[in-house]
Amino acid sequence: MYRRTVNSMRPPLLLIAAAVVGVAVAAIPLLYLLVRTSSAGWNAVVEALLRDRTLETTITSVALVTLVIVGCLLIAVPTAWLLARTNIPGRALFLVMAALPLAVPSYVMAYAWIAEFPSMSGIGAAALVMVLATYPYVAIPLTAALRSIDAGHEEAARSLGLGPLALARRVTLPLAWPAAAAGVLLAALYTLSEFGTVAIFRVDAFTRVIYTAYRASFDRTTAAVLSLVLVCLALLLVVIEARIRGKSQRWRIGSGVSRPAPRQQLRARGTVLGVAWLVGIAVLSLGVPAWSLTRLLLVSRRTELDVGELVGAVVGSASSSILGAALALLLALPIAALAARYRSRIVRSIEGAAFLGHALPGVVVGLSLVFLTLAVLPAAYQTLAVLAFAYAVLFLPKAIGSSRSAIAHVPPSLESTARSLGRGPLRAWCTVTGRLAWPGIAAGTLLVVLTAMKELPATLMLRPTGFNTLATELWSRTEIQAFGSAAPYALTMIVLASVPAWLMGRWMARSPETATSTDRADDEMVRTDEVAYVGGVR
Amino acid sequence: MTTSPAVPQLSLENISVGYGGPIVVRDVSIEVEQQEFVTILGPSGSGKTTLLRAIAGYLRPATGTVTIAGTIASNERTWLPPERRRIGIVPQEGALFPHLDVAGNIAFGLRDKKKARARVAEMLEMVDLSGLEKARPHELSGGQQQRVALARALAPAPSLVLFDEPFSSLDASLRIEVRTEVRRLLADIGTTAILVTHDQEEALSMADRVAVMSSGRIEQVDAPWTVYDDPSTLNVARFIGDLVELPVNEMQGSSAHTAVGWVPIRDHRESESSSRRVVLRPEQFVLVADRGVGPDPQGVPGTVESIRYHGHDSLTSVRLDDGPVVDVRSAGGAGVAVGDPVRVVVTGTARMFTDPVV
Repeated sequence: MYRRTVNSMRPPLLLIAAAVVGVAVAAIPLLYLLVRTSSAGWNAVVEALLRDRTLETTITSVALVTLVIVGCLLIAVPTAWLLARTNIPGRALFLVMAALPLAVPSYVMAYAWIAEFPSMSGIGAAALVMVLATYPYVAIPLTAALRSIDAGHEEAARSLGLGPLALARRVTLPLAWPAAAAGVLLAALYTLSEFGTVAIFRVDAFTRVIYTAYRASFDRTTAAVLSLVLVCLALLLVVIEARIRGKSQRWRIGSGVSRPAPRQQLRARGTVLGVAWLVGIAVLSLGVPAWSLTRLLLVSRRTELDVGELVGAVVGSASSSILGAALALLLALPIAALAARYRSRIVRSIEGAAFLGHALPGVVVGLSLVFLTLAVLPAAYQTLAVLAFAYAVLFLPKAIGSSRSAIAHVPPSLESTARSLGRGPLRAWCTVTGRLAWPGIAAGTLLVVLTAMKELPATLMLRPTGFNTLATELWSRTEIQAFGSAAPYALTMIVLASVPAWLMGRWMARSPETATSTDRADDEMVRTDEVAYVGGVR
Repeated sequence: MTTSPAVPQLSLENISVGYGGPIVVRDVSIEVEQQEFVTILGPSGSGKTTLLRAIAGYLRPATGTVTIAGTIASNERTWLPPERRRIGIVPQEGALFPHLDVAGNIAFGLRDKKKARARVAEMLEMVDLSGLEKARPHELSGGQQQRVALARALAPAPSLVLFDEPFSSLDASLRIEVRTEVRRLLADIGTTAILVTHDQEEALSMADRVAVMSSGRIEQVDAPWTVYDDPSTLNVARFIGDLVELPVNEMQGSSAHTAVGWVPIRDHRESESSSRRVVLRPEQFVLVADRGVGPDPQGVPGTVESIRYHGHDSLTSVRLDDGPVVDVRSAGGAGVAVGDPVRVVVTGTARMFTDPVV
């Protein structure tokens, strides 16, 4: 039976107004950056753009991103094939191990590697760490895609005379590539916005150059111009990613019972090689960080751990992140409520504008808010409020995504029935839709809190003097090569970052009481998307 | 609220609804009397659910006036939101609030929380579910959920109850049981009701009057038997029940000559159109085993092509020697076999329509 999922009524003006305000507020940093850049004068902008430095930085960033893309594919494709299409032993365990790197913030991984191999530096080192940190974004969806291809398609192709290679080229790859491509672009986007890893290995990519230019404080036009170039590159990735994702969802729509493709039975040699491959990847992505961290923790027990400082950093992380997440939720709720229920052009533009926020790197938001507070409200410069605002801007798309899917799971007929039973629009929303969507919205907000805790560059630029978070403590200790004393902070971050993964696992296992069977297919889709955003590398 | 019997419980005047795009409901007018049970019958996409949503106030018609018990609920200037219309709604699949127990669901629309308990008990007794106050919606069977949804809709004593295909998710035997019960219950308490459905059996068996919708228009509003026996348009005739359509060869007065011979036409009006057809129901035909006896045998000759046997009746397709195929309904079995030569006799009168423009 078909069910109307989208309200046919025109969306309430007040809700649209609130959503527009949310998007507008989130757009402030980018807009101000544009204003600031243009106020420097056309000549200065052109001059900054044409500087050798700009070209070098672009080349470095693009090269790094390319290396990461290639590396992710090289690791993820064989891994996904082994996990999805062979009878290799220990699949469940290896699948978990392929997802676990998401729980290690990328610069914590960089720190673990450099602490073990202090001579590591340069683009190769950064690419290696970024690949190890982001390959799950490709491997996990690709494994799922390979599993979900209906055996019937491949059997039909074989019976039509295709050999194994032709089958891969003409059937399997076309069906699975959107999942892989979307994951690759996600990995690329995170690499482009990544600051910590790039800085630790002294790679002059955009984020580090912008940060350095900002610190040097005499070259702020360059910093602003480079930021805009970076945003343009990121926007490109976000737009392509969204397109591919849309396409892959269209493909996944289909009814009828489908059988997963059969697994290839590996012979002894194949099994040994396959297990060796999976173990090797696990050693690099999990083993090295685990070994390094354990060793450092043992060292740091001999050096002195200042418990007071650690607690202070946790409190700092928690307070700023919770404040930021609350603000993000406030801005996100009207947009999410609108996007979940209405489909008009204005709603789509609001949602689309908010989605583009994925393309805002932390370093850009940090820089813009430094400029803005100094120019407009010097009293707010380096206050907790501005830091929380930066988090809200950075993680607004995430907050919208989770709230939106939570609200969309509540059948609209419940709310309209509540209206007929005498409740006004706001009360009906709060007592029915909001009430039922609440667990999902809360889980989403918690995700934002935990993601914000990992944020580094904007925190470094905007934090009040003397205010420390786990990320900044880890950073400042790594900077002076005090690897041992940084270990407890790294460990705390990993523990906190594992919470979302654990939470998502629980969430995916639970079946919502309101969901019908047709919903569940949607669910899976939304949740696969969600998983892709968990553990954001920023 | 007391209204004089002269005031219809619901009146729609020239309602059109579009979702800012193509018009989904076109120029619909209908009046529903107090205590009347009206079903709106139409294929999916005919605009019937949209019309229901306009009555409930979930969407605003582009034009026209909705009047509920003499009060204007919606026109060009006025707009009454759903919560102020005093309309109960029983949505598809019940749509019970999953976070509330049965009592919480039924009390949801009650203002006076002090009297809520007594009212909930009263409603539960009415739908024969006493003792289930604390049950959660997911613990109930489909039929129970539907009855709770009805109790919830009726608890605030609405002036009108709307049913949006409420029984489509129930299995066949349960559907008939719940249907009968709902009809009896509404008759007992004298509530006006409108039920939207695409199931013609449901529409015909429950209604005082049936409104047949097609392509956003109401094509006919009449008693169920009138809609079946005397359809006002070819669309209505085709949508309800089985139909035999035969082209008209020539007219003589108010009789039409067709492949089954001369058929008297009901309400015959002269029309300019040259191409017309008569429509007959399969039960208007009688099968005669063809033995070729007598100088002037009754009916026209044909051959049995297929037989669909349903137990209580059977539908026999006969290819007439003149070409067309007619379906003949017989009580029980037809007593013929595929390939048998038979004769078909027509009884009663028929409606005649102009051929639709293809």
